[in-house]
Amino acid sequence: MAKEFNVSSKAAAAAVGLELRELEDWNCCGSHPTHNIDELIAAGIAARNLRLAEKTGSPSLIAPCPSCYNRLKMTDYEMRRNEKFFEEVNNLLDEPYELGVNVRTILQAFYEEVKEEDIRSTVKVPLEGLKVACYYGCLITRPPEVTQFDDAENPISMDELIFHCGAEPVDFQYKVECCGGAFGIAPHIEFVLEKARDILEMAVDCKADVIAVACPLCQQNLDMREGQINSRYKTNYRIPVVYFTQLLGLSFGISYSKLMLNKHLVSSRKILSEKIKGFEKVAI
Amino acid sequence: MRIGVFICHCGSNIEGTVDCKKVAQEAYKFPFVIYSTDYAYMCSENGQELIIKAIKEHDLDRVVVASCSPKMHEPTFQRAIKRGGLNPYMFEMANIREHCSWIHTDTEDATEKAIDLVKKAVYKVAMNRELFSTTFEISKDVLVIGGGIAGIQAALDVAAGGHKIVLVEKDQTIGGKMAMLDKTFPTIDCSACILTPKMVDAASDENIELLAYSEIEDVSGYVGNFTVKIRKKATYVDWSKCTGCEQCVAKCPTRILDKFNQGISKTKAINKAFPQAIPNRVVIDGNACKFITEGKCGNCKKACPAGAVDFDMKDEIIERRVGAIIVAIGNDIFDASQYVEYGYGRYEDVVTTLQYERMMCASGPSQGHILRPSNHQEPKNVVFLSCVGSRDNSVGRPYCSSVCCMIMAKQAILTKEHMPDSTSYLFYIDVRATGKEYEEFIDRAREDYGALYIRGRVSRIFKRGDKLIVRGVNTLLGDQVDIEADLVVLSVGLTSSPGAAELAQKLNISYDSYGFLVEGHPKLKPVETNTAGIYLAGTCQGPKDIPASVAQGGAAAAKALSLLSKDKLESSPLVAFVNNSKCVGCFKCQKVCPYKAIEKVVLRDGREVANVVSSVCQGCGTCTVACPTGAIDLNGFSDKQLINELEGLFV
Repeated sequence: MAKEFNVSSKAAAAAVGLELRELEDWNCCGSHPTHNIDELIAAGIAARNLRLAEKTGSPSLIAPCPSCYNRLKMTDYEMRRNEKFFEEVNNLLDEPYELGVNVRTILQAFYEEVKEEDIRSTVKVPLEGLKVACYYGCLITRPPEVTQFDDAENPISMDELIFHCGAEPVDFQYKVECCGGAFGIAPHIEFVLEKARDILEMAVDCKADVIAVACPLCQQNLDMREGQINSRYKTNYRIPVVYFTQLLGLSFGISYSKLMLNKHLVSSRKILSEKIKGFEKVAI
Repeated sequence: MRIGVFICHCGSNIEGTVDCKKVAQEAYKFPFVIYSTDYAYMCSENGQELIIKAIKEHDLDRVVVASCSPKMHEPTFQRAIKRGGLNPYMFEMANIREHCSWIHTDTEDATEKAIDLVKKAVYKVAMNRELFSTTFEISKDVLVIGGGIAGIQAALDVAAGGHKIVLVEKDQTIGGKMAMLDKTFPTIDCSACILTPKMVDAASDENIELLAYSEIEDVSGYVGNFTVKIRKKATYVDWSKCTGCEQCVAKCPTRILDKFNQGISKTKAINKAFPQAIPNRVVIDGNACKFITEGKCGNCKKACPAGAVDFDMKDEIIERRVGAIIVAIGNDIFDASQYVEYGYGRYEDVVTTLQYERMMCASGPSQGHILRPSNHQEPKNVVFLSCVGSRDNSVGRPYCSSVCCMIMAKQAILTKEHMPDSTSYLFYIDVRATGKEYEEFIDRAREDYGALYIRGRVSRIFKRGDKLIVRGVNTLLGDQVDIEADLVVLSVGLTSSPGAAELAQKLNISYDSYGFLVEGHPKLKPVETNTAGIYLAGTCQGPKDIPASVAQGGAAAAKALSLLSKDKLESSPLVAFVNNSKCVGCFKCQKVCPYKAIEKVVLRDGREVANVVSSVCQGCGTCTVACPTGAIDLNGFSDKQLINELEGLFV
């Protein structure tokens, strides 16, 4: 699952000198179903990861999946502001977590750690002419008092990164709408299709060529459902849904297949080759 | 020495937690206590009579009342013992309510504490001596800060009482927010029609000195004798020559955002705020003017037939002496761009109620034609959002701004009158229409003008094509609603004026965490402040509508008039005094005095010593602490009194 997010994040990060190290012996983040059943145990599971990260001496822990990010960040946040919770969670751990880690998303890491000029100087294949709808989803900026990143209602960090790579971010109105992904299983399918349809429709209305995402659940939910949506609503959407790290990687000269862009159900090859001058350099 | 002690139950306020009978019994054990009793309400007429009777029957020479805070009833009891024949300063209060019964729950402990508090007061009163007030001369003039409707009303009312007024307004015209309004609720009468005559009256009244485009620089002194420094900001136009003909405005090449029109149109770097501006004069914006910033242009100077333009003009500081000050600096409006999800500042067709007011006004930039800013077409669907910056903790504004519901209803009515084919949707949380004929007004908007009220908040406004989609919840249907809007009007809340806190510090009056100025008492002193001689009027004290602002302006004027009806004021005898034989003339006291009440005097033997000007001294006691030789003491809080009070606690 989401292998292409992993691969493209690492490749794009390496290209701009952002060092990513995988956390050794990491475990599940404690996302649902755990946190639906026992908040304390869910926090304990997350806090174990935080402690492991703390021990490496790295100041920040990057969670590419927004749901993991949310659990880790939330646990850290609650432990910081609630002394009793701090003690209860640490009582579950072999080693106590001492609040020494800044949890961030991969988007945040790129936005805060990499300078604009470093991105611009790394770009080998400018994405000029490509119109991108940057879709952040519901979790990356929310809740704002916890995430303390970008604007919760009108985030611009991904737009800026994409812009530095030469692409044109469109004025996308559904940046932080819910994609319905969390309700993926019947009997909520009707609701999910409707939410996903709205996002695709808005992206097409905004004249976007591709939708860029930063969340595996959003990516899968939008990409995989286009067929279902088309048959359900008699539409004909064929808009590719790609990770923003894949677009960064492409502009840095990393090849289409290396970034695993060929893994998506709705192919982006045609539109990318049409829009991006010099696409042949990365077409393999 | 014969001391009487009186313990008040304050109904169950004190008696509920403190055993008052026991406190009264215990008080008999303290030295010199001849008489001690308790009573349900000591401040009542019967309670006061009880004190007076006891003074006479038991020949008391000192009184202790244990009840509430002295801020509440010290003057009441002082008057009572004066009627009983004692000097009002032969009295002490023990606060066994705020400091004891209200904050404790255990009766035994609270009673013990109450006994200690009474004991302290008894030991202190034993050292009290008789004190007498003196009188001082006062200025009969009044300063009014702020020329909005509240300030204008206050100025006119005080002037009608025969006093001179200095009316200071920071903008180039008086009229305040009311001048920007098109119509007023609930009568839909023209705002300018009822306001501008008052503005003209204020400018032409010979008792009123109008200082527009001026700000308060510094305030010193005390009730009856304030000295105020006022900065007259450079207008670059000699107002004694300017006739307001505006020939200069036509020739000015520099266009700037029109503040009076809330930024929805442009004006010139030399401009008059609006056609009926008072004073009817032009001002040059020094930050925008090409001649002032770059040394080029000068068109206005050439165009002016009166030769009034003066590029070399500088700010000028003038001084006035007044007896009372009325603060009416008004409010600002909430910055709606804080709600990023509403897109204010990103979408041209999202405007505030005050901007919409200018759009509807016949003297506004579109001559009263409502047009969408994005394409200058008439809108069809207009959506109103209430509580933008009110009743919302997430933006730090938990309070209700009180006028926004009514503004929104008024604008829905006017929208229909301007454009009969239009539809207005109004998102609301609750409709707060508590004033006279307000609820009926809301009914009219709904029933006669077809305003569609939707109960719920809006979560997002976004663009689709050239329309705005307003997505909200209808909490009565339990459903999400999307409304396609041509124009969205945000009914923004009221906030304090940006300079309110700074001015409050200059005036030594209180302000709350939102920057609103604090009245003397939330119920009983609505226009007073905690500083004698300074009064509040209008929205600087909290959000309110025009009728309430006018009423408060009048009330503040009445308070100022009653203060100044006397030729002299009585000064408190609770002031510091210097013992010349101990003073070594180091003048540390002079450095620490916040009221500049200490002067140097030369004695007959040539020694230089400190002297307290008792009419200026506020009795804060700072100098008594600073004095290294103990030469300064404070009446009512003398070293002897305080030491004895402490000793009482430890015997």
